[in-house]
Amino acid sequence: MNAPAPLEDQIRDYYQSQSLSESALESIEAAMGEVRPEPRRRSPSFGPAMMAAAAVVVLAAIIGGVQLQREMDTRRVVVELAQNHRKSLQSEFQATAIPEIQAVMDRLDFSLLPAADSLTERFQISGARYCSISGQLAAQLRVVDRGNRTPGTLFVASLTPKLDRTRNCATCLGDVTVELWDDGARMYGLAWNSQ
Amino acid sequence: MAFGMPFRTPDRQEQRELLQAGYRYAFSLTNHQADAEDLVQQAALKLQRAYGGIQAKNLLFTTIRNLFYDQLRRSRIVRFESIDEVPEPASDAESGTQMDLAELLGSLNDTEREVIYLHYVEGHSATEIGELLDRSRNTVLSQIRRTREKLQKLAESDSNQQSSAL
Repeated sequence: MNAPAPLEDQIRDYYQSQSLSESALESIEAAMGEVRPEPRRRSPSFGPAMMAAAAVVVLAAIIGGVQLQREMDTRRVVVELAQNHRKSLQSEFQATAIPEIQAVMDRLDFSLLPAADSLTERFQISGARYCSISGQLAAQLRVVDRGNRTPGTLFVASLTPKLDRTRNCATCLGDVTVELWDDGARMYGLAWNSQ
Repeated sequence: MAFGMPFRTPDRQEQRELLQAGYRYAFSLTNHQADAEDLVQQAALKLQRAYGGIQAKNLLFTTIRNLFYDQLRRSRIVRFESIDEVPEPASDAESGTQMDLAELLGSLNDTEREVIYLHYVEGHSATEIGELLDRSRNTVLSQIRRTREKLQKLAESDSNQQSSAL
């Protein structure tokens, strides 16, 4: 009498003896023949979209950064002009006309004469002194608005790239209001006590 | 055998062999011929739809396995045999052995049968089975050992019962 086969062999034989019938195989093959493979769906490519989004973000960051820098520069100049105005320092040069001031303030490397006469028409000048705006030499003139008789300080500086980053504005800093503008060659700042 | 074999389209004979292997694997999971047939057919159609055919045995096995557990979750496969599926009593010694083994394997759960099948029939190592089933090698080794012990105990118990009956 033969000894029984090891359990492992019996298991192997048992499963090896299991098989699909020919009819079942043919049925499966027929069903497979009727199925068309689905076209491979490519996973959506996010590459270009991500690149575009990244470019937009970078661009926004650059524009935002430039704008922020511009605001910061403007704010710094406005605060500086307000502080200079508050000091109410004595004029170094007594003069009532810009050509006179220009003549005595020989350290200035730019012309104080405005492109238009509107400035001299608007303000009555009583004197001037040197000052510094953002580290560069400038002139500050004591003026009175001919219209409402409001005393103020008019600042004039060469429109260097550094100052060109400021924007035209009118800002109230507590007791002092500061207006900034430029004429393409010079930056002007007017500070007066807020009402 | 490595599971990560490259895909290529098998010829008809190879595809038939893959289907038979898939059926045996499905049978090891379900312990039920009709369910195994259904499973292998569903898996084959799924692979045909996705890849234009059955391209590798490991892919077929994984598909069968996923389908089986999906269906278990949906309770479409019940883990007991209907009266119609109970095998006929054996008429000779060899078929008697086969039937005893079928009963023994039927007393295992699907996880135990699967591991035993992959190890003893497919010849996979514990590491390969671990990769296929996402289990650690030690877990697989332990499952193989415990299942073998369980089968041996059941076999001995069955043998003792037969002896006492004689």
